[in-house]
Amino acid sequence: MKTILIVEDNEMNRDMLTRRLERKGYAVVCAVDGPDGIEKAAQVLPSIILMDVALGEMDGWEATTAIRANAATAHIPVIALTAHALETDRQRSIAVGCIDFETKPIVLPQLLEKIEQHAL
Amino acid sequence: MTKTASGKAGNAAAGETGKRFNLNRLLDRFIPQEIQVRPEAHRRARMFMLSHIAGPIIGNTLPLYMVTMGLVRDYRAVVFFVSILLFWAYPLALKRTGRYQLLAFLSVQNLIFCVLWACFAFGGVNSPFLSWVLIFPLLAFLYLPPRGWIRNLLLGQMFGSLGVFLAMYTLGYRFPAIDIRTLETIGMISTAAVSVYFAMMALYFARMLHEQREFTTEINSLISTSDNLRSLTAAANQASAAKANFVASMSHELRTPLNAILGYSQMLLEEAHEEQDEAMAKDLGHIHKSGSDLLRIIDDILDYSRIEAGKMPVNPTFDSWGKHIGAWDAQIATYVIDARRMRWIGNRQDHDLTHVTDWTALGSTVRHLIIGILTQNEDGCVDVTVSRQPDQHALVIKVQDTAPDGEVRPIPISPEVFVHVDDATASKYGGTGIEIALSLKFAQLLGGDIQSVTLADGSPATLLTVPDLAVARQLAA
Repeated sequence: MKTILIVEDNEMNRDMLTRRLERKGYAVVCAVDGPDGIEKAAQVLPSIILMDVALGEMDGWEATTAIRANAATAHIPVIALTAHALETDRQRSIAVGCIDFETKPIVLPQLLEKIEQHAL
Repeated sequence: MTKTASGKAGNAAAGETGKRFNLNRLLDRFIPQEIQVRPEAHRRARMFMLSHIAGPIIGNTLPLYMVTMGLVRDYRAVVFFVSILLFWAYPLALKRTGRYQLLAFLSVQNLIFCVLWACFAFGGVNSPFLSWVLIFPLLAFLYLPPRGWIRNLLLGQMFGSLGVFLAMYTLGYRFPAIDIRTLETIGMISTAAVSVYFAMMALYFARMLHEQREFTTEINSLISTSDNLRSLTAAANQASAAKANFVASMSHELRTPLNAILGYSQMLLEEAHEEQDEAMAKDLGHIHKSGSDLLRIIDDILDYSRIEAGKMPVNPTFDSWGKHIGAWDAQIATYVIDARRMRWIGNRQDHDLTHVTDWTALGSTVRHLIIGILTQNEDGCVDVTVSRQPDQHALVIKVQDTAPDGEVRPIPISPEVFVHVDDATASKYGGTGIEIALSLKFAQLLGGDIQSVTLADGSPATLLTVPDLAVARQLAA
């Protein structure tokens, strides 16, 4: 079973995405902010990380940069999730090492396709 | 700028006189354009022209009087008359050659000769024409720039000539004999003529100074207006950027809760289908549909704001029309309940039409136009046809709205967004949303336009015209 790490600070979005992904047969681990995400990524070594970009003090791009910088987690693919539908956000996400980019609200079939494409 | 400024001074004078005689316009007829565009040179040339047009009329009263009255009727009067008449040749020569400095120099030579000849021939140092010597320096100052070797040379020559003349007198040279008493009347006429000439030049000079002051005031006012406009434009740009940032932030704030609404409703919808609770599924479907509509409106407002703020990038690529129809069709189907009300009319050949444009933006243009029509109109069918303009530079997408009874209806195209109007059109279309206005914005972003037209068969149609950006750039270059 593939394990997905969701890094999301909004409780409702975290809960909703967890339940929808679990219904599709994935194991889901959640982190509530950037530092928590970095720590959980190293502990769990998930198949893929869904990283919200707007996370408070440490944003998703900084967290991704830290995950990429750690040799133990550098190989884990990260998909950036953002409520901004801006091309600059997509470009920045790719620049910091995200493998793909999805805008909120999530279109689940599209996200599932990307998870299947990139997950380890 | 300089040309406009110079013209402005002339126009001010024209305004004063209206349809009456306009002296400046007459003088300018002889002044070449290349001089008129330089305000300082233009002013000097006008003084030159005035002097050369009016001067011979004033000056020739003297030899003509002497000949008419029988005072002198020989070569001296003829030389005097011809040397004055010669001044009329200078305006024509300037118009023909444009060599102002040379002609001004020659004109002063002409003047020196003319005046010294009159003094030499008619009375020497007692000559009634001696007062004309005063205009030498006056004209040198008025015709020529305040500095420069030509002016210095002329001044030197004037005083040199005068010095020679006085030296000849001092050394006892015998000037041609003349009875001074016969020249008393002409002396008065000469003094009056030189006074008239001086007054004319002084008045015109004063008028030019006044025009110059008015012109300077006007320029300062224009500079001030231009500064105001620049600061207003900067403020407008700032406001536009602030609005775009506000809309982007608002979009983010709205998307976050919307994410939960759409996610939970989708999840519950799936559960309801699994449990075969169709009544619940229908209600959840409404929630999900409303959330999706809200998301689309947010996206549209964000796009509209980005285009208005000039922050929507355009990335032209070479591609074919047919390659994109499938994706656009699917996008339209997700937004309208009955997508079968839209038909792509055309054949394989139309699908092969190639073009250089931003195909994503073109997709948004077409999609918003069609969705705008379909959502405003409750029945009927929208037909979409593509062709290339005869000059090959633009794609023309023709959209026609056909009612169930077969009547082709006009489509109201308005740049206004979210406006509801109370008229016959509104009762049919229910007012304007953002789709058609956004479609128009996208079309303009691509250098194109959307227009309502009446075709040759009398039916109304809406034409979306999108230029080939590669050709447009070549033409611009």
